[in-house]
Amino acid sequence: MRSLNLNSLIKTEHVHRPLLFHGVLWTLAFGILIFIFSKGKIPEFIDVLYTLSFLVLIAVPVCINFYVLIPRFLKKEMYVAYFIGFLLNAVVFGAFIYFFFEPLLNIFFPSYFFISYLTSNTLIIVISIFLVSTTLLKLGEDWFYFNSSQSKLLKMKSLQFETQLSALRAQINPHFLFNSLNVIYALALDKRENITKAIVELSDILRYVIYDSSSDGVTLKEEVALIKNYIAFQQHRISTKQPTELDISITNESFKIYPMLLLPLLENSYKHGTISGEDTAPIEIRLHQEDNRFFFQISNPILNAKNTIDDKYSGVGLDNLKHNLELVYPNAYRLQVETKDGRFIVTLILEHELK
Amino acid sequence: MKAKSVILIFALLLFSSCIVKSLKPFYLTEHIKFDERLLGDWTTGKTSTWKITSFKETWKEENKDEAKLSEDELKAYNTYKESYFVVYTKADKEGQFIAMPFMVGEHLFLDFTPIEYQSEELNSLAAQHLLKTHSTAYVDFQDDGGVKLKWLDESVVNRLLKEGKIRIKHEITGIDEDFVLTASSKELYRFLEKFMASDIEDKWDKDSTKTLTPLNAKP
Repeated sequence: MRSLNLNSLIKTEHVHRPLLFHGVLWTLAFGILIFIFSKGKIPEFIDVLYTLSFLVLIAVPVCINFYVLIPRFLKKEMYVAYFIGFLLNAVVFGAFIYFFFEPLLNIFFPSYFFISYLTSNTLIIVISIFLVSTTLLKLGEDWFYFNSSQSKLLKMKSLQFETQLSALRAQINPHFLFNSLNVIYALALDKRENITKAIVELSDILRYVIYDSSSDGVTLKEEVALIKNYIAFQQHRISTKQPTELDISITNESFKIYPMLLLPLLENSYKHGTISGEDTAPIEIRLHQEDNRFFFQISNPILNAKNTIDDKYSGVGLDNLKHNLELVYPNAYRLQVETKDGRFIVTLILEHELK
Repeated sequence: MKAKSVILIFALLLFSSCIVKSLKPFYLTEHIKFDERLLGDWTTGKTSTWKITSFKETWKEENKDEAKLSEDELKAYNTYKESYFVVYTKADKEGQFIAMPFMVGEHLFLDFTPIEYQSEELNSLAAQHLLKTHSTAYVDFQDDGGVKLKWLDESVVNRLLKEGKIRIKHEITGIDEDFVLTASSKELYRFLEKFMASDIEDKWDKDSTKTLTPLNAKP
């Protein structure tokens, strides 16, 4: 299954709202500055003119900081380069405002007397504070969007996780059903008397697959019942005289494991380790549970049998099992597949109970 | 009521209550420029005389032994040595001023601040409540040898304030609600620069203008 490229998805969502940001920023700046410039008195039109003119000039270094210095240096962790750039920006435009603000005001508003506003020293302080505070605001805005996108990423990862799991389950169900129907078909061809019993057993298995497998976890009691049902169902098909050997040792029947972990292994063993109507070495199953440890081993003779389904579907169950284990028990499982003494052995160990 | 009348008397001493008063001088030291053309005796009417001398020369005459000068006196000398010592007499009432000449662009201005005034009628405690403020006048030399001193008028600044065309630090203070500028000298100088460059109507009020004609002005 191909996983979604979440980062690319998040990038499309990671869109700033410059209009909103600049609207808030400059309105806030206007409010604060006009309060400062009018010395706490009721602002007059001349104060509005002065404040707007100041904002028009200071907007240039602020925008250079926002759209050149921060993305090119600060966001790339080039702190020294950013610091130098910031200082240069502040000094160059600060000097421009320092020397040309008043002459420009006199040119554009010749009938107004802008006298008791910023003195030389306070002008430098205001420019510095303005550039620093707008930088912090911009970083705050970036942090807000980053945080928001991270939250979205987590949610999408969770969604992807769920989607993957349900997709894996959706692959197992028709796979298992296909196998089972072939068994029933074989029984029907032979006109076996126990076909009705087999259908009931299949029905129980399907109930597990359809309903129980949709739950977050199944108890070992339910899982053992499934295994026994499955063995009985397969017995109808192969009619071997040597029954499957089942060794179960459980200390806690309520111990929960992820559903549909064992059924693919059972399917695999019966598919390759049995031949209908022939007495072959038995399939051996060991299921042990103690404390937090779960042990399952299944082995079957290697018969090179091709049972029921095409080769192209072969191995789908085992692959799905690996996917499930990786998702549900990351770094807490061991799945070992080996051949030894003419037998195909699969061992699954889970290090903890499903929470 | 007596106190009020005292203040009114003091106000009369400063020619008119309409001139703009400031806590700070209107000039910056780098713009000071002494102009000898103002030296001499002048009149503005039958009973008004102006005696304008160099502060430096007057000081030297009065303090011939510089060794006896205190540190404060020397500091005062250095501060005002480029200024004029002005004695203005009107109806036998005398007021003494320091008038500092300074240039605003190409225009000569004087920054007036009183040193002493006849205050026999003033209660000493009341006198201590009075503040020596600054005023400024544009010096307009006339072709006939006279000089017009055009004081910055309160009505002009008030009109600008009323129209919302100026933001300058000021206070309305005292029981007479006197208008006084509290802006720094730098701001005041900037205001004068802008004021001289502007084309506002009735820039100089007639009531705040004194036309000095020479009695025996220096050639």
